Amino acid sequence: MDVQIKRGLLDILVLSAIKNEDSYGYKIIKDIKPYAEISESTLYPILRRLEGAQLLTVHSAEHNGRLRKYYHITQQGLSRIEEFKEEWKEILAIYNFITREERNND
Amino acid sequence: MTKREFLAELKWRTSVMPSDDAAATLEYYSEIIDDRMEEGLSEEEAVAAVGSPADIAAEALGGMSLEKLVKETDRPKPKRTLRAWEIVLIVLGAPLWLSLLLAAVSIVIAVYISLWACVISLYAAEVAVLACAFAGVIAFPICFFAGNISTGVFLLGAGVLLAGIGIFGFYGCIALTKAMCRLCRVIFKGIISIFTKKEAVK
Repeated sequence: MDVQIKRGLLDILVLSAIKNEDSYGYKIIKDIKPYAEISESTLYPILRRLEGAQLLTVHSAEHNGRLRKYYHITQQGLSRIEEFKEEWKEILAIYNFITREERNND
Repeated sequence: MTKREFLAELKWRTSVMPSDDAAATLEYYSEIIDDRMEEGLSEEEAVAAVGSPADIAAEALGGMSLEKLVKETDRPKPKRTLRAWEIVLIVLGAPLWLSLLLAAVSIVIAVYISLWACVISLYAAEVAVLACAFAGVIAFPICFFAGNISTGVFLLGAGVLLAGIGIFGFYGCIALTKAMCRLCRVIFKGIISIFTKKEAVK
């Protein structure tokens, strides 16, 4: 897959992993594994970038006697997911157009 | 590698980062290792699975702007507070260092005065030349009316000559004054830099 597209998709995947409930690093990786295999070192810069863009916030909570960082999606993060869905409606329309001839020939 | 070794190596590899970012990085990877160990991996396996500190640090630094890194290394040094015995020593030694300081200051002032005295004397000469020029020009009609035409002409000629010298000399005075100002500024900066040693950029 094109690298640029992949990077954009990873951002959205991470955001949707924390959309319904706060999550932590390791769990995020497991949740998006079916769709994109990423390592912790790939995830970390993504999380930092999303935090810098204020699409998510970080807070620490106790877990089994140690502090764990939880990531929480912001309103802007939710908007970004909606934007993504809208963008892809357009892409899907173009895809249908490109493949219409093939479908007509079937 | 144990978790402690991993974190120690990651710590010094990220030491060029702003301390907040370095701390966040360490916390993140420490948590990942802990999570993996919770899943059942041994410490060695968990550390190995996370990757090498070198790669992680390179990745983290690569994502950081140069501006951010430079600001970190230019952090101002914390001010040293004077200890009691240092204050006592300063006060007791005052007769010595204070008089030396006054002597040094006096020398600097003397140098400044003598430099500017040169400039002032040049201006004085300039004024004298112009005054004579003026006198010479005035003398001409006076001598003329007194009947001393040749003397008058001579004095007029001398006056005009001096006027010419004075006009050229004026530009010279301006140039010298500017050069003197620059020289004084250089000396001043040189004195100041003795006291404010800037840390050499490694």
